[in-house]
Amino acid sequence: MLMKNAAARAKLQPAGDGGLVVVFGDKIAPGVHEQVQEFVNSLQKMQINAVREIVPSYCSVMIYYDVLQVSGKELRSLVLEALEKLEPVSASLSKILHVPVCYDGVLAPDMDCVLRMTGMTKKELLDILTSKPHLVYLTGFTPGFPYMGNLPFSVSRQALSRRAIPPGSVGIAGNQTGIYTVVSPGEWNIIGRTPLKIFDAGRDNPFLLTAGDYVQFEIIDIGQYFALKRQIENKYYQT
Amino acid sequence: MIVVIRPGNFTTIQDSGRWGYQTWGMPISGCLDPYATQVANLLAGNKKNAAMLEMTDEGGVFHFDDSVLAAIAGADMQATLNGRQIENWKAFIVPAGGTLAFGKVVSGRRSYLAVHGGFEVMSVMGSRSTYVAAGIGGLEGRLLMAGDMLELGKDAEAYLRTIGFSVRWIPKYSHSWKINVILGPQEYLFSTANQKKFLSSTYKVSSIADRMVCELEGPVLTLPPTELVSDATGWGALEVPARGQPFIVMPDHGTTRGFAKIGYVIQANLYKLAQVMPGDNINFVEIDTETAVDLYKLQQANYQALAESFSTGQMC
Repeated sequence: MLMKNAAARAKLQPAGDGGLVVVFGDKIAPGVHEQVQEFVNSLQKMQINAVREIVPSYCSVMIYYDVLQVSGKELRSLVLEALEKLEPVSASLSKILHVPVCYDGVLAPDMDCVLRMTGMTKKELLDILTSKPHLVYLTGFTPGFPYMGNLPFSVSRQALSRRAIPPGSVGIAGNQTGIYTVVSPGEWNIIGRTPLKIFDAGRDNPFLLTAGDYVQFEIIDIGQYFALKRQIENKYYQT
Repeated sequence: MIVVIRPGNFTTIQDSGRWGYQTWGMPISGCLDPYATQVANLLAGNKKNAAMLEMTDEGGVFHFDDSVLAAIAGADMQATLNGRQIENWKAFIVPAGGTLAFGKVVSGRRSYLAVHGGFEVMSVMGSRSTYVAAGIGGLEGRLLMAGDMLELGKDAEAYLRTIGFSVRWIPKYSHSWKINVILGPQEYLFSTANQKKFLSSTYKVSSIADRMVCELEGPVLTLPPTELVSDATGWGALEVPARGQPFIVMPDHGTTRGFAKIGYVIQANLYKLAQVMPGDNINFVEIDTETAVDLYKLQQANYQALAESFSTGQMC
């Protein structure tokens, strides 16, 4: 019954003449995330040739399709078919990635600002961030950037966008946390840095994380940070 | 071997893009002008996905060690071969030791140089397209530099006759553009008055117009104060940030962002986004999806006709 409801509630919206968005909600929530994952799974199983790419996000799924192979109307009926066949995605597919993070000094330029905004002590903040694994709702923005949501507090973004945030930087914004993967501009508060390369195009598996995975943050000091960074650069380190 | 004597303003190796990894946040990249690149590859006797050079604003100077069939399409950068002017949208043979030189753009903005066989660089995640922000694809993931040496690839079709085609296949670039859009997916966040304002105003292309984003200057659109959850955003999306100035998403843009999308540029008009210059005027005109698809099909049918005329040697 629950599945049928999901299908009935999903909204279909055009994104140009080669895109269709299937919307399941408007809030970051584990239940919506599950529906998104189930729908992606269901649609992938149908192996529709005309579908160029399926891109899930927090609450919706974008379908890029080839209009020379399928009409918008035909695609809509295929989507409705996929919505009828939602089934739970096996949890065994998701993994927990342990991500060591140094939350100190120059690697955490916005730490003081975040503590002021939240009124928490550093220990309280780190307890929240490291006490349990965080669900990766989606990867996006830049290659492999994991969006993790539902922190029990919320902070505003930095008023000025930084031009170049180094990869590995751990940021928080709103009630989300994420890890920058390439040098990129950004407004998130930077509270630490990991030596892990979450994205590395030269690796067999370029992306360490995918939607549905979990991240367990672990506190390291600056000495450990540089030691791990050396190991990773010399390819000694196994995640 | 082709040696880069001068790289030009912003020259990269691109193909038809890195599709299949947007789920992980990998932008599609690829040539910004799909029509010019399709035609350039046809003229150079290449497969559809052969990698070529994309030049912006000002082209480069290239020395060719060996003789090769080449073609230029897209913006006019006053190309010369060994000092003699050559025509755009035509194939030509570069003799061994020849120098092909591009200047400043005089019409359009991005020019494409295809060589028979394409450019041979390592394919990264299924594409040779350069994505500068992550430093991948193309030549070491970066812009071309003086002294770079480019190898020819094997993405050639059967060797074709060097023939041109009727001028009616050549798009005209102006400084005042009509660009068709389909409203949605988040047009409902804007009042009818704001939607009207968007569709009846003239927007100017700002100086920030690159492979990631094409910013616009013009009437500000107002949005209700809602925190929008990040969702997927594609090539041609018209995003409206809190400050209200819409901008257009280009292929190197992040795959998901938290901005309201009032509409999308139709596929048949994407090539215009590659050729608009900062300072150009754009008027957005709403059309329905069916009409947009018809226009796209017509464009593709034209391309097919052109491809067939090339393989039969009949002037089209």
